Amino acid sequence: MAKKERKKVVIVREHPMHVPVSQKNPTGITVRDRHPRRLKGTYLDREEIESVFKTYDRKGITFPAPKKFEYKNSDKYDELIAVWTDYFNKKFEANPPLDPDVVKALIASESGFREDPPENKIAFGIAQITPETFKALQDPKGEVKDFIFNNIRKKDLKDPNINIPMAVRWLHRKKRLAEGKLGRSATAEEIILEYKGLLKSKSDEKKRALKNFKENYDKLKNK
Amino acid sequence: MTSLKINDLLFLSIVFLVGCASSSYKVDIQTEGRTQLLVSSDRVILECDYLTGYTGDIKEAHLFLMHVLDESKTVLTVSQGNILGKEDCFRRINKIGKIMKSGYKIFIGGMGNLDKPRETQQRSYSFPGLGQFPENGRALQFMTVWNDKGGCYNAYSGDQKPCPSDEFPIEK
Repeated sequence: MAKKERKKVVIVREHPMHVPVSQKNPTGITVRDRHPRRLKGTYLDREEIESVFKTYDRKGITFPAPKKFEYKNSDKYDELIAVWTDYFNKKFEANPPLDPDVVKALIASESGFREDPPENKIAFGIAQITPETFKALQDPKGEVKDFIFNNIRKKDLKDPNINIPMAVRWLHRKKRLAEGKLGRSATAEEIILEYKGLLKSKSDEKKRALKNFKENYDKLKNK
Repeated sequence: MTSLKINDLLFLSIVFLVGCASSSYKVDIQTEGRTQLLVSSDRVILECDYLTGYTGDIKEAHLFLMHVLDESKTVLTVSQGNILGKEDCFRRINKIGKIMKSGYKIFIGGMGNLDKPRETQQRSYSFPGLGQFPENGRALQFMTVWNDKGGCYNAYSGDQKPCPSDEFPIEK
């Protein structure tokens, strides 16, 4: 029997709503038309991100390897990485699950654990999320429509509490795409190549583009 | 005649001194995860490498690389960890090029170390006045470059002060 798809959006009926008192609305009440609303559990907004992180059951979750790097803040974000990797592994029933060391090694190569590296003008925050990715992550009709982010502002990307869950969600998307292209489970390197837009590239450069990630990942794995 | 000889001798001495001093490479200091090189600018080639077959959303994606000629006449690579747009990449070449030109001592700070055995690669680089030398498979993640005249550039914060900062310079 085909798996029944769970509803992600409901239509809210017309309802009165409080607004600031103005000439147009002297009573401070207006009528809001019918509108769609995403159901809880199919999106994350700032409040939900904060609440999930605060209340997440940390028992048995896997942390990335500590004390392996000499970057200034290399272990500062381990808890964020561990919680959000576990959250999305469970959310997407990922098999095999995404390794938190992949996330940590990616951040090492993307930003050297700087929360807001200002010199790269086209990507933002600790995981260097591009504007296109940022848009896709919040698009209810886009490629990650099954689980999106909501009401996140571009300036929020400077905050690792927001940037890391978005990057992990995007990595899951890339993991799935890589697995589709390869027809099997993707290795850590293949997931990152897809994340960097180079999985199917035949050029020599893809090896060079992966070099820093690979060195960082090997270090975390004691290779 | 005597004056001419003295001048010639002085000229030759200067050429000799400059010649000796102009090309140098040294691992200044290395820890388990960080390396600081002290080099002369003639041993460094800056490159923005266009990524063919790239399918991501960065327009004209490039990799920023610094190729450094070491003491064994092989080339190690210091590269930016993230992919850059064309403009961002060439801005680096411009700014780092100025640091190379204006300083006598050039320091390069990278994450990682150079303990791996050298493995000669097919790719080689031509260093003007020094010759053509092969890559050795060794790599560092680019963090900071600075000179003895106060010029400095960080991979993530550009020339913002303080620079160098955080991981570099490595304390001796």
